Amino acid sequence: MWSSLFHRRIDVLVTILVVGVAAGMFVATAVHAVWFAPELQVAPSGIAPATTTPQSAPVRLIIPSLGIDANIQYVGLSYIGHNIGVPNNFIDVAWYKYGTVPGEQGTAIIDGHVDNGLSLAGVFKHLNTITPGAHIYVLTQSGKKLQFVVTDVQSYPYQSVPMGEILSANDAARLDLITCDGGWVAGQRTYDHRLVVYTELQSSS
Amino acid sequence: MRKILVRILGSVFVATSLVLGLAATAAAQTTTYATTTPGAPNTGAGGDVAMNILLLCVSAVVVLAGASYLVFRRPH
Repeated sequence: MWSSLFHRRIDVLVTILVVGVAAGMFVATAVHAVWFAPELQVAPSGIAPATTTPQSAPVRLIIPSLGIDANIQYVGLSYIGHNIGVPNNFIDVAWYKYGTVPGEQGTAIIDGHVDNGLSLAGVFKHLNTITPGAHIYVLTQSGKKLQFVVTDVQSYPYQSVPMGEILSANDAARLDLITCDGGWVAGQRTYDHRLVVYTELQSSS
Repeated sequence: MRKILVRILGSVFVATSLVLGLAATAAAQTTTYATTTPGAPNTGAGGDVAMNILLLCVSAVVVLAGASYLVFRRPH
C-alpha cells in the first residue's frame, strides 16, 4: 500500500516538474521571440562613452515618412563578435554610445531590428523604403529637436560593411541608421546584408 | 508499464525542450574582428521563426499532455 502511494506521488511530482519546465520554456521562448531579447554587451577597450548633456542626450528617433517614433537605448559592443550593440527589444532603437553624439561633428550610429523571432515587423522593418530627401528627427532630453535629411541609402554584404569609413567620416554632423537586410544565413543566424541610411544634420531647434 | 512509459516520455520531453531551448537562445555567431573598429550590428531575428515556433509547439504539447494526465489520471 505504501509502495503504491509512493509511486503515485512520484508520478505526480515528475509530471508537475515536466509541465513546469515546459511551461517555463514556452513563456521564455515567447518573450524572447516577441518582446525582450537582450544581448550581452561590452565596452570597447580604452574608449569612454561619449559625454552627453540634457541638451544633447538623444531620447527619441522620429521618422514621419515611416511612422516611426521610437525610444533610443544606449548600447556598446556585442560580447560575441564585437559588433555595434542592438536594442534589447524590437520596438526601440539603439545609439552606439562610444561613438559620436547625434548632432555633433562626426557620424553617430543608430540601429534597430528589422524583425523579431517570429518574423513579425521590427522598428526598422520598412527602413529600406526610405529615400534621399526624407527627414529624420532626433529629440534630446531637453526637448531639442535635431533634423537630419537622408542623403544616401546603401545595402552591403554583412561582412563587408565599411564601418571604418562610416565611423571616421567627420566632415559634418551625420547620423547613420543601420538595420539588417537581404536573406537569412542559417549557419550564422544573421541576415546577409546590412542597410545603411546616410543622413546629415540640416537644422536644430 | 504505463508508469515507466510516462517517465520515459517525460524525460524525453524535458531533454528535448532543454536542448531546443539552448539552441534557440544561443547568441548569433558572427565574425570576431581583430581591429578596434566595431562590426555592423546584428539587427534581425526572423530566421529563427521555425525554431521558435517548434519550441512553442513542443512545450505547449508537453504542458497540455502533462496537465491532462494530472487532471484525468485515475488512482490505482
